[in-house]
Amino acid sequence: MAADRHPLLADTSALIAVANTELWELLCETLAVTTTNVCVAECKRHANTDYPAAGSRAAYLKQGSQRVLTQLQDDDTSWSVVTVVPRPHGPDAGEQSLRQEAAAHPDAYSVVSLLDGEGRRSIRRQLAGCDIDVVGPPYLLYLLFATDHISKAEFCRATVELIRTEGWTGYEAVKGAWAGIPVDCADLLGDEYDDALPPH
Amino acid sequence: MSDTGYDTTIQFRAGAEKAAAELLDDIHLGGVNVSELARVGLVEMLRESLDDDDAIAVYERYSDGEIDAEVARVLLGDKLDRIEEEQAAVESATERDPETFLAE
Repeated sequence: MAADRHPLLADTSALIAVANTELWELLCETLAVTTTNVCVAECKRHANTDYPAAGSRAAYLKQGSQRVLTQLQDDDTSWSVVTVVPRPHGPDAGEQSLRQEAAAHPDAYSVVSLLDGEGRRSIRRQLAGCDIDVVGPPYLLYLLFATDHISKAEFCRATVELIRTEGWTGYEAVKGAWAGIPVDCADLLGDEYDDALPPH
Repeated sequence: MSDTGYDTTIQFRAGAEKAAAELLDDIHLGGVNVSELARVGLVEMLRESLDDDDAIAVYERYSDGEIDAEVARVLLGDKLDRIEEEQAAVESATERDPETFLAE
């Protein structure tokens, strides 16, 4: 595994979110992503959950984490893991590790992806003045579309899948997921996707 | 566009509520600003009355330029800032060359 810093830095939850979509394998081959040792430890913890009930959040985290770990352990991967010192602890340790890493190496990164909206806001405040955008995981799927690796329909389906499996309901979460993405999925996806599409 | 100036008034019928406001203004040290209390209280209750569908309708009208940001902000509060902040971040990220994020 390479120890380079790629311009895209992602946290545990963002990686698990995309790992549970049908585009994960393509995403692994196509993008170069950096994460932290703290996020890897979080993935290992989720992956070691014993016998989570089928369909539960724990099962979802376990499956996503196992996929992420497999990708990071692949000898041929260009994905990288950086070690953050001092090592943060606590329930937000992964998020905190991204904050420390991006603040310590602001020139190495151009996009930081986190699942949690409040976490994104907090990192944005800290990185104010740095040329780094802090965005949600749908952006990773968008990169596949923007580089012609997937069609608009595939992007739309995977983003809806991500929104639904993350359980993002309500106006703000759904609107926030699509905000700023210059792809209109409303024409492609029928009424049955209404709950996961921005209203219009 | 709506008139968002503070020279317009809201009137409503009040009995004991008005007497209570006058009483508090009288006995509270330095008095109370009933207009300010009413404004703050109204905003609080309007937001509390706003359900998810209402929020969608308000934001969409604001996006379409039908209502002022100031009016949208009264109803949506921080939600408006959060959505706009997300939008600005993703727009900025999508302006970057996507090829720079690809594995070599």
